[in-house]
Amino acid sequence: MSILQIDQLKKYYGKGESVVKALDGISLTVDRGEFVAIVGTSGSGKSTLLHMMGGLDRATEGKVHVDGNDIFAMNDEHLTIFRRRSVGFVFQSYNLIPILNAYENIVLPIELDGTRVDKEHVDRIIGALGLKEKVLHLPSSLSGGQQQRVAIARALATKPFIVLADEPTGNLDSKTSQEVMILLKQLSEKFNQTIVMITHNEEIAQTADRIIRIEDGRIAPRPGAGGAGR
Amino acid sequence: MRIRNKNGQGIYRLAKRSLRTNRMRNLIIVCAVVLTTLLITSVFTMGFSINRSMELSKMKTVGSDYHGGFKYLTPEETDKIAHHPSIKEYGKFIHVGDAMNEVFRTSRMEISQFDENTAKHSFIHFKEGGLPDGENEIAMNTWALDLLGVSHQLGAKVPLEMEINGERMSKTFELSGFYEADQFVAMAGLAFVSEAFVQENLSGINPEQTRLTGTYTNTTDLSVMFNNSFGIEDKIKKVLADTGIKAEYGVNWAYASVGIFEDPMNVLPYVGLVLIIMLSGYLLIYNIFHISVVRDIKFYGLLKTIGTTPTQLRRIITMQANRLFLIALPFGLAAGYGIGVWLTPMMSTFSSMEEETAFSVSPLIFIGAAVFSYLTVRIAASKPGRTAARISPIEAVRYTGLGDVSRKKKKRSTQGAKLLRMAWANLFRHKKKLVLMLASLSLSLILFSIIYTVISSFDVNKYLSTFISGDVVVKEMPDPSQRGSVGGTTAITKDIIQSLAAIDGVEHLDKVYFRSESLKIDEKIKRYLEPLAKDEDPRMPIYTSVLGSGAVWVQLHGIDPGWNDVLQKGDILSGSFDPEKFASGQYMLITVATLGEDETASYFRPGDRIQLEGMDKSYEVMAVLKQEALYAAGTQSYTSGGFNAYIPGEEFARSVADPGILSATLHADPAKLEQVLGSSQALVDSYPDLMMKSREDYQKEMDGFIRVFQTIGYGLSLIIALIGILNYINTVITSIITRRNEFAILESVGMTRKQLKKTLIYEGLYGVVLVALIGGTAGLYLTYVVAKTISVNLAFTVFHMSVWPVASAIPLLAVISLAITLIAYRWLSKASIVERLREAE
Repeated sequence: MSILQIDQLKKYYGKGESVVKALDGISLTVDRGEFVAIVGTSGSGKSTLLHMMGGLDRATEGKVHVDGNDIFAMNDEHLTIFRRRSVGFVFQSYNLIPILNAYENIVLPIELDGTRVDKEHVDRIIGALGLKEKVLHLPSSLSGGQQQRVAIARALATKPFIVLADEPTGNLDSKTSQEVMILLKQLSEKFNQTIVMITHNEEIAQTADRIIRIEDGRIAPRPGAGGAGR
Repeated sequence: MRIRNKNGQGIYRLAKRSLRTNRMRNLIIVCAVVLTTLLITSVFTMGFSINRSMELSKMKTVGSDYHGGFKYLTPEETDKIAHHPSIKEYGKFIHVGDAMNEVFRTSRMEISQFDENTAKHSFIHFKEGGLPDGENEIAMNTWALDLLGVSHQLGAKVPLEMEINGERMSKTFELSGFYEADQFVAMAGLAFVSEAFVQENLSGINPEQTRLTGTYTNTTDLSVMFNNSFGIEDKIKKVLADTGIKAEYGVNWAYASVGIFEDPMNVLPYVGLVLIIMLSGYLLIYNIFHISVVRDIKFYGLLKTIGTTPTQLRRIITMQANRLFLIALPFGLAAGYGIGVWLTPMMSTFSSMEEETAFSVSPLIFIGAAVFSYLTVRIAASKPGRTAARISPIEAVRYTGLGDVSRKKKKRSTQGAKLLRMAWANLFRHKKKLVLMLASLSLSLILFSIIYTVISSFDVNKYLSTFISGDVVVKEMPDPSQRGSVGGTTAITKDIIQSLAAIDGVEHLDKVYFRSESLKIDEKIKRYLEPLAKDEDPRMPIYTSVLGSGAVWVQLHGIDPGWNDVLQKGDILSGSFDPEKFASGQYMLITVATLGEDETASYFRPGDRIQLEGMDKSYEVMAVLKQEALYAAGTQSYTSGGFNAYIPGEEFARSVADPGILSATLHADPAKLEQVLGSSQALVDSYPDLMMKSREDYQKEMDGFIRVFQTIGYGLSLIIALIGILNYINTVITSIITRRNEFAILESVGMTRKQLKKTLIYEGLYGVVLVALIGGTAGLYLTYVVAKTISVNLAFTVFHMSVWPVASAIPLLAVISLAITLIAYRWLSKASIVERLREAE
């Protein structure tokens, strides 16, 4: 059963001669509970694709359906509300709010929504991510791995349809990266959570159920060795 | 999908934390709000207090501060009305009769019985004693006692001839209390008898009957207070309808008019002032919020990514604005009220009315000031709030802090990276910031320039010549009991004139003869007066009574030739002044007539002939003058519907029997001025009825006037300048701090610290140059136009353009700019390049 459906998605920047085709007609489907990795070189358009999936940016053409909702048909206000309820984001640079402590960061999307915090669920996530001791710390006093775990907890707290992770291990050393990947994999299985992750690291991508390759704004026809080279 | 949701907690927390992390910004915003509120409050306080003073003086003219009253009632009616639920407070007085002593022939002296309430609300403050109790006791004011020749002593015998309901009665009372007649309170001729007296002497008189005969003896006037002063007449009518009583009533018109607020022209300066204040506050607060939003754009973008809606983002900003506003408000209100109270007495010296100052503590002042400064804050915070709300999450997260620049096409330079060029380009990177800062600084600069120019345009000589033509003027002492009538003219005798003229050093002496003459109202004059009589308030029938009397008053002056030079070309409205022809005694100069508040018109044209009632000769009108022409020569008062007329002094002495002398003006030899002042003062002191004023006295008054204008004007421009400078400081410091990373990059590629410092200094100085350009063009133009308009409308000013307020402010600004840049730079250079490079994440 598909949770995410993308049809002929295009995103062009600029005009005329200098047009940059970041995405040039991408279609794909992600099923519930699937852990998908999108790989590609820098500039291949994979980040743009992720932003489109989560409604952070609007496409030039094409459609994105999340759980059957056409997200580009919504206005800014609706889209934001939809996003905070249905999509969880994890960024390379963690993007925690510096003035809120770890716990406040985790429950912020729920509070913004005005719904009651499902304490049990949040506590389970915090426990699963090993953050129990750190919930009252401000982001600046946490290590990179801890910060990323807080960001993951925040993404999961609202029980979203889908979690979108943009190079979640990009700023972490290899040991910590591995820990985070194991966590993501576990969470995907434990909570039957759909996860779409972007990475340029083949090894990391191997953790996922399925790997999709992007080259020059298109899906590469077959899995190949085209990772690092130009 | 549900959009409205209760999401207060998260937003509230974010707003609170965000506030806590921006202390510097908060401080500047709080300062801005305090200054804005302070200015608005003091303007409001001044406006309200002046209005209150005017209201009070009007009430004193009316004689009471009751909202209104019912007249000529029977005791039963009085009771019935007094118990009507809408009446909050009331006072009663009973009409008794009139005092008929010879001394009261010219001014009516009413006898009545007041209760305590009525006395209290009628501005009667007993100096000694109080309202009478015993049948033979009476209370009155010192003016009446003086007329009767009774000493100001409790228990003194007061013999009165009375007429009560048409019957004569004489009785000697004992004085139970007396009060000083307030020269502004209308009810001068009142004597109060006791309730016992009324019972003893009036009990047999039927009020219903006296109401018909018109003596009104033993009828009661009931004065009332309602809950508030809105719609008094309707309330009175309702009371009458409810009680079924038909009675005459009166509305206190001091409440009916709303003082300075009734004429939009009076309110206009206040509105303008409040708008300028709001604008300057807006420019600063807007700029601060704008800068802080741009600086924290990443933060807002992040919040949006996580799911903060645009509405919520706006709320985060407005919540912060509200919080800061609430912190600043009490300080602004308190300081503003204090300043307003301090300035109001000065302000009222502007108005010619000699009234005491009353301070208003109307809650409207504070509510109004709070509302206006809140508006300023909200309007200022709303645009930055929208900016934060509009951010695209992706752009914000990627945002490097220089977002809007990168879009601009880079200008290529063949001369390399010249520091000057870089500084110039830097200045325009954030256009909005620049525009706000320039507007704020220019506003205060222009304001200062205008105020300075107006003040420097005051001309002492022009002021002095309005009041005095020579060095010393000797006049009769004004007599407070002679209110209404125009100054007596018997004090200065020929002997005094001779003694004055004989003082060593007096070069010559100009007399002004004076007499009030009546002029019969003919058809032509009637045409001017009738419309005024028709429109006026029947309770203050000024023109109706002028028409009724059949004559207007003409203040006839005889002026000695020295006055001829005082008459200026600008004073003549039509005709022309020929001193030789005038000296022949066949001609007369007249001013326009006073018709209503600010209206004037001339009944006559040059060539017309005027025949005054008391004179057997007619004069040809030579010229029609402005109302204020020859002001120094006249009585300096005006009569409604009347005008001033001038004939030569000699002619006056010849054709008027017993010519009275109003004033004598001495022209002294400058070398002997001190001597003249001393001798004339000594002479004047020996006559208790005389007074003198010297040119110096008037000069002192003028100095006081200028000081008032300076205090208020410079105070205002100082505070607005402070706002402008705060804006400047904030802009410069934040622009340097937010570019820390960029400077680090520049340094890492080889820019020396010295070069960087130079660039920053150039940047600041270019800003000053831009302010100078605006000040030098638009500023000077506005100064010229606005200051000229004000000067022309103010008496005693001769406009001359002044460039130097703008010119001198520029170096000052340059110094401030230099200092701030250096401070910000030192702050910046504390951290090493690597640290600063890292900070950018």
